[in-house]
Amino acid sequence: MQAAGQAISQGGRWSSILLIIAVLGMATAQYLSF
Amino acid sequence: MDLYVIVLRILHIFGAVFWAGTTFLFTGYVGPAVMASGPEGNKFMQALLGQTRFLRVIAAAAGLTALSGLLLYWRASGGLRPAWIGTGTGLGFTIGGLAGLIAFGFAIAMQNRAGRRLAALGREVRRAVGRPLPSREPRCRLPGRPSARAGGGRPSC
Repeated sequence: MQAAGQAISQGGRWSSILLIIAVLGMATAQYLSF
Repeated sequence: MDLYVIVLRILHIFGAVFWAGTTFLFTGYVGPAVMASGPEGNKFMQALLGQTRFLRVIAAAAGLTALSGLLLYWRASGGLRPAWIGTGTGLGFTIGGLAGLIAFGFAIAMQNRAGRRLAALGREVRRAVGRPLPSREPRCRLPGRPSARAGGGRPSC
């Protein structure tokens, strides 16, 4: 079961980085659209 | 801005807040705490993944965010017009959208992996319930070495 937690943690790390990039991209796009 | 875009934006923003917030919380705090807790962490993970809809809800939030984002992108780009995609706004939405879609792929892969492990654990438990659980104590104790569970110095076989 801890392996499942580890899988979630590893996937979560990459997801976190990608989600931050996504939010920054969206924020930049919104800023440029004004 | 029409109602269609307003509804999509609400779904997109709420879905993304829930999805990203849960991901950050789990990756930053819950995951490391589970790893540090040993067997108790195992129990917690078992309850979280097996007895709640955690994985399904995260996947649903991620799916809703991705779908509403794709529809908003389609609308904003006027049906994927290259002229719009080349602008600063278009590039920002494109890069952000691609990063979000890859993160969505990670979320689904993660759910499948954890789900497979849970299913394997469930099979193991069912097999174990079908036959007596293996005991750590020897089946036949020597008379000189009493065990509290066996009830005094009486040999157990």
